[in-house]
Amino acid sequence: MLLDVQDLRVEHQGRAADNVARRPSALNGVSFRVVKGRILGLVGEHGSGKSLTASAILGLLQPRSRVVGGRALFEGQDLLRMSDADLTRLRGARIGFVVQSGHATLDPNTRVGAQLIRAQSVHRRVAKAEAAWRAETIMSSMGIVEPRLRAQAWPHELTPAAVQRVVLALALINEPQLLIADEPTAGLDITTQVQILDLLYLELRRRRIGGMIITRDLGVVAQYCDDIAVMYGGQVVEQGPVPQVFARPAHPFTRALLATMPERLAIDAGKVRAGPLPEAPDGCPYRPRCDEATERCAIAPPLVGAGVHAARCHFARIGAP
Amino acid sequence: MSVVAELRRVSVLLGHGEHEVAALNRVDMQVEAGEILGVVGESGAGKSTLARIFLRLAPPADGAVLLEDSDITILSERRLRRLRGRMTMVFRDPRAVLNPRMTVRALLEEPLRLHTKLNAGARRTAIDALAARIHLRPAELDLRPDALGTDRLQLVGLGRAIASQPKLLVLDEPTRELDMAAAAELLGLLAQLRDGGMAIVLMSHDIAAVQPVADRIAVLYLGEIVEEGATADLLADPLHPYTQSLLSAHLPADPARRGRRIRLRGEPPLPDERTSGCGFAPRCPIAENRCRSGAPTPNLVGTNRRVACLRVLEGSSRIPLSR
Repeated sequence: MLLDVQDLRVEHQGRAADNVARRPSALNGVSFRVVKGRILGLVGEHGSGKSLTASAILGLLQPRSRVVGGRALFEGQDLLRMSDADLTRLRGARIGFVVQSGHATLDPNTRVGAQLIRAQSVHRRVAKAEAAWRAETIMSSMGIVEPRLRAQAWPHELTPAAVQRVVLALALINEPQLLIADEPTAGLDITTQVQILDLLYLELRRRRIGGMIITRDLGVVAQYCDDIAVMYGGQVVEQGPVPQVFARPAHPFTRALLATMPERLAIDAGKVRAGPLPEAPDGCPYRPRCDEATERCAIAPPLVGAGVHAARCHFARIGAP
Repeated sequence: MSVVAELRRVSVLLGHGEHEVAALNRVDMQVEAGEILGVVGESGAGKSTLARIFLRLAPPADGAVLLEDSDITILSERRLRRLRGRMTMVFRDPRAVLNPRMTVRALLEEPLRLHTKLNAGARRTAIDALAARIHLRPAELDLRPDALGTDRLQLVGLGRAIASQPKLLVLDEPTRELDMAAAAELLGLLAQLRDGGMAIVLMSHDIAAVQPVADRIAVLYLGEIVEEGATADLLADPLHPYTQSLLSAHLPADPARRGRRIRLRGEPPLPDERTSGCGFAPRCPIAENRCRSGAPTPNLVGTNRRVACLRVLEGSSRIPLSR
């Protein structure tokens, strides 16, 4: 097991307009696993807690959010109880991380080649020539043509797609065991998105790097991931191997997500209603939007299912057609 | 059906002097009442320019723009302002266009105040009816944009655009920032508006995002229409190599359909990188020498399809799939 997240809980701290301190819980027991050499797709809507989960695991939460429970075991070590110094040694070395806004990752005052060299020398002693060679190699494997020339470019000279290629190169350059990528191709054109995902996929497979790709696009999961974890309301509501979950989704939210994929979408004018995210009610968080909800759903649903495929729903029937 | 909006051989130049480039190049387009026209193109293809031309927010360098049979190519700002309620737009990021200091009610009231003669009481009734139509709950009317998610705000953006009951509605990537359920909801609302007789132009970089509701699709590359046809025909048998590539780049949510797709070289070019000949030739897997010299013009293929590709005429425009 490469990464084993168990019952992760995160609270926001703050005061509402009435100046009463509140602690809304943002993650209510998130559990999932990333297996060595496999790619996990973490999907969900805005505000379901996908990015927050990644930040919590990597010790990058904003000051007003804090972990209040759970474990995140990376190769057996609990990341949530690790010192900052130890975490800093892991991040960017054994765990690569790609944040949502690629451009913000790059230092505007340093040429991209120098940034790729610096990323290596921060973590280990390396000869400059070797570091430069590795930088060019990884740039070229991310689809940057003439890497030696492009290494001299400033970040602002790059197209959005080239920025994203460099950001991925930065995350991969120290040969991590695990890569966490938050919407690695969001905002890019569709033909370049596919190019970049193809290259990333090859690189992860070739080096047997475990991947965790955060996305809103089930197409990305279906095409590039081995496992899927679906988040809703700060919980993983369904998880399992991609073929099983797509063929027989057990949670109503997973079924609803699949039904809204454009190629499956049967527009019955005005019938689809998204609805605002409900304020964490008791019981199942998806209850207010669920067509199949009953009185029983006021009680928090258990994780149903044995083995690899499981869903958090009273009525989940794993493996049923 | 009657044509609501039309572009006739419209060209648009951006930049000045030697940096001048054609953002749109002799584009012909029509949209009828009760029809959704999907316009698909990647960044730099000219989608947003096209939207600005349809609404006459900018004048074209050449060609004519028509709204309901009247030529609006060279109208004064004053005369155009009177037409603003009849042609409206929805933008990609509602947070960027909605005034954060106004409540949703005030945001919806603004177009009614500007473009209709309703009095305050009638406006109030109209807003309540409008809110119900776009699935906003009464409680949401008193909130400001900050308190609403992007998904809900885009409904407000749509509400503002349809408040004055326009003849023409143009949407520029309206679902790009939305969750999938919210995107589906918005498309459902567009289908309703279409059935009510509105002419709708729906733009996206992704064919899949327009496909569920578009009656026709026009594919734009470097400011030119490379293919146009009825949605079902175009999806079943894309003729232009670029349309084939776009469809192939869509990632189906079906793990059983992996692999085998067309891979293009490089990124979508910017208008100033335009070479002579066919604009798509530098990235086209099946380009020949003649594609680099002669620029193809849109030709009618069959009865219902226009394609701008030299190889289509002899039926050899299909790209073989690779793994």
